[in-house]
Amino acid sequence: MVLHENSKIVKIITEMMAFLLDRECKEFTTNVKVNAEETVVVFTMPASSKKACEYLEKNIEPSRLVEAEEYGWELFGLCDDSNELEQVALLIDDISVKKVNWDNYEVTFIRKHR
Amino acid sequence: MLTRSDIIKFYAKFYKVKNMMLPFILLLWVILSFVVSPVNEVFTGFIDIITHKSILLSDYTAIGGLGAAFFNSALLMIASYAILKVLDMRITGPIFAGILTIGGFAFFGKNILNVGIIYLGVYLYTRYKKISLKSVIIIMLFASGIAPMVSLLMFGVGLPLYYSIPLGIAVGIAAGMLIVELSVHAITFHKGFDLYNVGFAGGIISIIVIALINFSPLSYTMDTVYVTDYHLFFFILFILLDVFFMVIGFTYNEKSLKGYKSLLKLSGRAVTDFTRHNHYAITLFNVGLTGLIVLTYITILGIQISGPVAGALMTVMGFAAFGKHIKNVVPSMLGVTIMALVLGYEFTHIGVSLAIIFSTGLAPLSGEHGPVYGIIGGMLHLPLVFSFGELLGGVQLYANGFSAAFTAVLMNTLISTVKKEK
Repeated sequence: MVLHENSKIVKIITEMMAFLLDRECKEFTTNVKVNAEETVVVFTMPASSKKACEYLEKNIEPSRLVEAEEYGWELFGLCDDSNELEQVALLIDDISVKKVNWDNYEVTFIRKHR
Repeated sequence: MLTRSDIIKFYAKFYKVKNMMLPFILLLWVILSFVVSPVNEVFTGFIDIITHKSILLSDYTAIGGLGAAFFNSALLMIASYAILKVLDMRITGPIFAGILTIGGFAFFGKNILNVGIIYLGVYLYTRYKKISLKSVIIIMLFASGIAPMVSLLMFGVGLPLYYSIPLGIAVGIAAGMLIVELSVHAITFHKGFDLYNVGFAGGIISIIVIALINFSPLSYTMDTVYVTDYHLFFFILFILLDVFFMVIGFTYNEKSLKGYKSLLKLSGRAVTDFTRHNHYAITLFNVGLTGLIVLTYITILGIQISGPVAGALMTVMGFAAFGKHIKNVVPSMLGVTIMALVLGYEFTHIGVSLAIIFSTGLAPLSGEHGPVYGIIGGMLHLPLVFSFGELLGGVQLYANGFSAAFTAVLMNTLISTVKKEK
């Protein structure tokens, strides 16, 4: 078990929301599912968010380190000039971006419970 | 019976680049302990070290001798490294920084006794919270900055040992338990622009402990003990170490500097682990080059290397895997230098020497906002660190880290004020 698990999940969601709003994505929905093994956060958005989704697919490389996340997770999202979403990669185990229902995009973040 | 292939395998594992050459440093430190001083002097000196009050500024090369100081440093790094290996952890940038910071401060304030008790406090916190020690290991490594409060209460306040030892243990454990939560939240104060974050959290605890001591009938004196007798030895050692890291890094990086330009583009703001995405080799190169740049800078200023200065240089090398590089460390050092000139301080004043080197904790300021802000930050840092010294009462070894947090806050406010909204 790690500390502040729920706060870290909220951090992933808020950072993703800030990222989408910064990129003029005006419409998206969030779905969160927590089970015994992992937390799955799914963002669904229309085709107009294509560029944002492509950026995520290219630039977010999950590299979770349990010790680093405890040290600095409170920081993520505090600096206007940095790309904090890349720091969020430290909080997730997996990310997938796919096209669904013809013109929608679905971004899924997976965070395993350790 | 060990075969030749077993020995080769062991050798390859021991020296593999992903260990960031730490086993090599540990071995070198143990060898140096017994090369520079006779064995009996090492052990008697070591006893003097662990029974010293150890508050700032206690140069262990003066208190126990050079060999004992190296032995103390080696022992602490080996113990910390062993904990990491038992937990089956990789040597990442922050962990490398943590180990070298412990090894460095083991030349002036940290020893196996006082650090062990702080570690115990952190460990008990993880048991109480039912979390893994792994998750707070970085905080645990840096938390040892407040270790002198244990030694001070045990050996420096004039109480009989049967009272002072339990008191030191109790306060150390309590401080170790508190520092984890505190440092996680304290980082938001300076937004990651002070690389010595646990120094800020530890400073808060230290102020409270010192206030309680001052309020009680207990009293102690603060001394400044340091020697520069081993300057030449340290100077040669650090040159060799820095060059060694550069050569190893370059060699393992396919005999190239591939990736170094990208590393220099990083601001260094916490949490920037240079080893991320398997960039171990180029990080090793950065460790050597950054160490060499800082060593050259202090040499130009005529600063002599004492135990504390040697510790500060090791800390810079450690953090060269966790935020510092040649582009972001120079401006803040320049700022402190300018301020020392303006205020008429000698660079060889130990407080100024340490402020110059430790001001590199503000490296992310210039990394993120440019060198001008780094220089201004460095200029502010010197008066702040001098002012906070008394408040911290010498029990917080990361006095510069504590002050740097305030500098970072002030600079962040200044930058936000100056910056126009997009």
